[in-house]
Amino acid sequence: MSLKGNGRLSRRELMQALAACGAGSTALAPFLSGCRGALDTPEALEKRGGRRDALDGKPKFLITISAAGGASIIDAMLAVRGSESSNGALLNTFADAQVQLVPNSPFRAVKYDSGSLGSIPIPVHTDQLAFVNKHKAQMLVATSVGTSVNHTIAQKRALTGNAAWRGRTLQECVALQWGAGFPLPNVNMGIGGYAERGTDDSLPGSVYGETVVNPSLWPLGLDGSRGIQGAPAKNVIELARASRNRLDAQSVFGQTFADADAMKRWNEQRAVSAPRLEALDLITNLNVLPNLPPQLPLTSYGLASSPDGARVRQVLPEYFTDPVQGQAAMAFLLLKYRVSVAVTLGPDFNVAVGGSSGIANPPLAFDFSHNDHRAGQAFMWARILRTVDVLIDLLKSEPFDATSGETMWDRTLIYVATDFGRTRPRPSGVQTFGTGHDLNNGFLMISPMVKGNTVLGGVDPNTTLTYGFDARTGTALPGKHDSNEPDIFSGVLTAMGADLTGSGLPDASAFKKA
Amino acid sequence: MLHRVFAALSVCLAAAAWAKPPAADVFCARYPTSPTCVSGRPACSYCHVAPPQRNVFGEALEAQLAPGAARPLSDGDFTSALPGALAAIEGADSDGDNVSNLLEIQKGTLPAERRSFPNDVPCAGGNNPQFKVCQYDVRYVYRKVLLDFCGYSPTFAMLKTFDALADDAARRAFVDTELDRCVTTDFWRGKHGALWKLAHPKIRPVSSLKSGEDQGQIPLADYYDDYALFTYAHTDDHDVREVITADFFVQRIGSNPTQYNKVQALASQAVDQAHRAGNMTSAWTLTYFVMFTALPRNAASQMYRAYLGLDIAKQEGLFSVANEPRDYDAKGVQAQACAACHATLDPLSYPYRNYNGISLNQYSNRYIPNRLELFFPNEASTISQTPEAGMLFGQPVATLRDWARVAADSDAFLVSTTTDYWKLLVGHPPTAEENEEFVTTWRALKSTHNYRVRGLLHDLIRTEAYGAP
Amino acid sequence: MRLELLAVVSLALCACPAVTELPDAGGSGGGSATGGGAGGGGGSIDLDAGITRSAKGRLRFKGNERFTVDLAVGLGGTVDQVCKELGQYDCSFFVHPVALGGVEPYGVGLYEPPSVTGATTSLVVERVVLSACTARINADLSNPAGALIFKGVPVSGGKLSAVDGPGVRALIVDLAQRGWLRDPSEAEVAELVQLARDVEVAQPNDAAKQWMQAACFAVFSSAEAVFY
Repeated sequence: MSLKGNGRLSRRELMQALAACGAGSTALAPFLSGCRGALDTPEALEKRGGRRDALDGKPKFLITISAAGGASIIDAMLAVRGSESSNGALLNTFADAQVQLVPNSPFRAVKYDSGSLGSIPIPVHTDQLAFVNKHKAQMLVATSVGTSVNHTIAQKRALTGNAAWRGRTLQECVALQWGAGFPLPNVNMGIGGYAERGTDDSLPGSVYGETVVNPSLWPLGLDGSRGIQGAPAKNVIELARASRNRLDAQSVFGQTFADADAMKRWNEQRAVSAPRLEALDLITNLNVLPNLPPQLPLTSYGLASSPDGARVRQVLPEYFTDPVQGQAAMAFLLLKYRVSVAVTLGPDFNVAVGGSSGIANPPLAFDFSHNDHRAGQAFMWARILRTVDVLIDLLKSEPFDATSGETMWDRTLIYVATDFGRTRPRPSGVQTFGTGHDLNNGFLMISPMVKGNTVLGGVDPNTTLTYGFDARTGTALPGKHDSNEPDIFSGVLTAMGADLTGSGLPDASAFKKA
Repeated sequence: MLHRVFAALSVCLAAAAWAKPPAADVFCARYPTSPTCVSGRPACSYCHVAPPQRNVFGEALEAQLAPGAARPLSDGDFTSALPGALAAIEGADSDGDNVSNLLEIQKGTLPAERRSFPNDVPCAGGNNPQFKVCQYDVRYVYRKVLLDFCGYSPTFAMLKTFDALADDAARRAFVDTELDRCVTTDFWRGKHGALWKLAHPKIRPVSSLKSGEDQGQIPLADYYDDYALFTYAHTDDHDVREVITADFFVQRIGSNPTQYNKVQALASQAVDQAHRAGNMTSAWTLTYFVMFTALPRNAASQMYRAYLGLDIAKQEGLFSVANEPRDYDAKGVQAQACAACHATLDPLSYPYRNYNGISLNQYSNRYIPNRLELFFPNEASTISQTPEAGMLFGQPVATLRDWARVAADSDAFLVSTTTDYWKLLVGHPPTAEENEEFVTTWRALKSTHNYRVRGLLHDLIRTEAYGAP
Repeated sequence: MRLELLAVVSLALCACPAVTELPDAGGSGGGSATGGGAGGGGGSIDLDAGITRSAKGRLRFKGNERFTVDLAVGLGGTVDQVCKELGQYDCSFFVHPVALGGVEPYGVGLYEPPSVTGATTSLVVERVVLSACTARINADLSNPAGALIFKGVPVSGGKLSAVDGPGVRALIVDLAQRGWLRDPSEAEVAELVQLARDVEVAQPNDAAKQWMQAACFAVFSSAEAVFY
């Protein structure tokens, strides 16, 4: 292998190196970063801006919460009091008492009460203060300006930084970095642009997201024969599989299409992916359902609930009827059982029943703000923060490494991705109003790995628009309103300590805990 | 509620203040036979990652574009300089895939994408026991046709019968007969059938908001009517353009076979006959895509995407209109980051100005003259100046019905309709290698088949792309 | 949890196909293996002649509907009988439609089918096939007089009386005609006969039935049965 004068590999060498690194072998897992990094001297790496944590061979985890519809940051941590703004009556500012200051923190917390959620006659009573007080030390808000207010496009750009790194998504980057050896490195339960795969086709197939649409029932498909009454013994299944595979290889059909991508992928999935899933007994370990005949007669079918089922059901009691709770339960189990390193979940645009009011999710999720901005944002932010809080508690309770004493949470970053912000104007003094889509917004990240209790950038109270920041130093830049999607993208990966060598991403050191 | 003001959806697409909408026309004037131009126009992404950022082809072009001249170039200077710049880089291989830019342009692959290049690898033919590899194989087609259109494979006995037919001509005739039989089955045309699946991305159903049959928790509109019209237009010797031009509704009746009957009124639909434009004005479209919005840009862009295959959010189909956007609803779309796309999108949206979305029942989902003035008086001081006349493909359209007619008669409609079926039946959008057959197929939909899908389907199963294993 | 909703949701979201007038997949009834397939010009096939590989590689996964309907037709049942998780939730149209290449447009906005098979697809295919095969075998063995496929195979003490006998061979031919729409080659017959011997060693007390399940599974979960 030779290096060109500019330190780059020739195309052929690059392909060989990628093939070796991305082969997905368990044995290679701890060395995946090193495989790429081995071509660099520390000096060269530093010179080119490569930044990463020490390689310890241990995974890190990314949970992406897709706040579909446009979660407005000025309806949460960057809320503005009416008295602070020269145009407060005409912009989306709150009555002073609704915006609670958080001691020793740059964050704010909105308290909101209403008798209805738009035209839906259910009360909305939310208060973000408890969440912010509890988690502020590990919270970071980075202001943002996007490049699209089309839902699907903006959603995808929230994950790719607008093609910041050859079009790959954050989840794919994390799966590539830490997911080797994991049977499903990247599981995606999101919708729309959040569920799309990136556009970097050079990545190993295993890092692209596995779509899951019904998390409570999905584990039933993680074994080829268990749970089927009257199925043959496992050793017979293995004999049958071996025989079938030989038949396929010998058949005219199999030989004619042996070079087809679909056939090659299928053979790999049968030979590698499927046995891994079965070996981990995921049909049990990921099964949050209880044994509850006659609707769920698990034991009659030789199945059982996950050892973690009871405690997950206790904190996410509506896991079956509220899709987000079901997804959160699955997200935790996927991480705990070392199935995935990147999981994506979030509300969709459908109504979900549940909760004390009978509605768990309004139509259009955050985009319900078209109808009733204040109530829609308050309701949905509460929904997101409640989910995040539960996940953090679950992960904190889960040991990661007995020797180091780390918990799962110590190695996890939660990224609350969203489409865009909302338009700021409102009819003078009106409390119930609708909003459109706006490029200007901010993102919330929570993790022990981020620079906590931090707002990168800020908000101008007279416009309620956020302004930017220097992603390397964190210096606020009032007046900066240009797009910074690559900064956000890089910020997530930088905080996690990913190897960004060769990415061309901007230095986003300001996101990372010192 | 009636007087409640809902803020409009601001479709502020930060695309291409820097990308030059004239570029596509200049490009196609230079390369009129390029597949990129024969079936459409190059999108901004041909030269840009996301404007103003250029891809490798765009960077190479920029270096040759009036070097030394002050930036930004005027549209006139840009138009003058572009042909020379294109010529200057024709011999280069910008994306490093070992194929020159010119050859990629001629073949219809992307000169900025190294994974896109003409795939002229010869496909060695051979008569395997079950397949005529790389040749049109009528037996293989028979099996595919039954699966694709009837939903099941022929049985062993059916294949034996097929094999016993006299010759390939007889077998081809038999396949045509089978195709005609299959498209009458519910697998193809029934509720949740193949045609409904083709319509999903266009209709974008949301079960919780559905009214009528299979009603959801918050019933607002019945999108099964949209599926009914879509399926009607695509079956039974109907003109496929009626999906966006119909001034009638369609009622789905029964099953096995499912019938779709034309009716003049449906309880679930409210737009008066004089203002109907097929699924562009259905109750669901107005509920979901217009919703609470004063100027329904989202509805216009979705129709442009769904029925013409042009996604403005991906910088496709930009036909900038002079002096646009006017920003009648004061959404700030004249900002540099928004204006290039909105110069196309806003004039597309004006014809929707009087189509109301969600409101009180008696005002929902219908055409209401002076809607903006009645329901959105406080939206913006200039909102009432919003015209009903707009522009589509650079052509004036006085009403939404005109919009629909121009759209339905366009090549873009033919290309989009044929692409839908190509993806459904071949399994992917047409590739560069398939382009010649693809162009022949979409052109014949109009010239030979007078917009009847039946003829398109018979043509499509005769293509090498469909029939050669 | 509101389990009472489960059945309702299961029914409401189960966009099951309305396929009727399904063909009868009954095989030729003969017991001959032609040597590789009835395709091309038909007749016997010499596999040693070499098989041309397609450079085009236009191969498509059948997807949840076509796969399930073909399975139902092949095994002489109905779509509704193919597979139910926990005995009640339809595998192909409610629990696993997306893993099987289907869409979920109404609930989560998945409007177009996945372009490639997923990591769990092959396992779900196996579950569905195994369920359908087991149901057919149970039905046939419990009613030999009305048996459709698994018949005419002498069994003694839970084992096949004659692994090399004509009954086994005829069953293999029938399965191939139903799953692959062609006659099996001699090599394929030999492979499935060998499978019978292997199963007899692995599960001597119930070898006959478990071989039937294994053989049915091998044919109907093969690539040839799930791609086109």
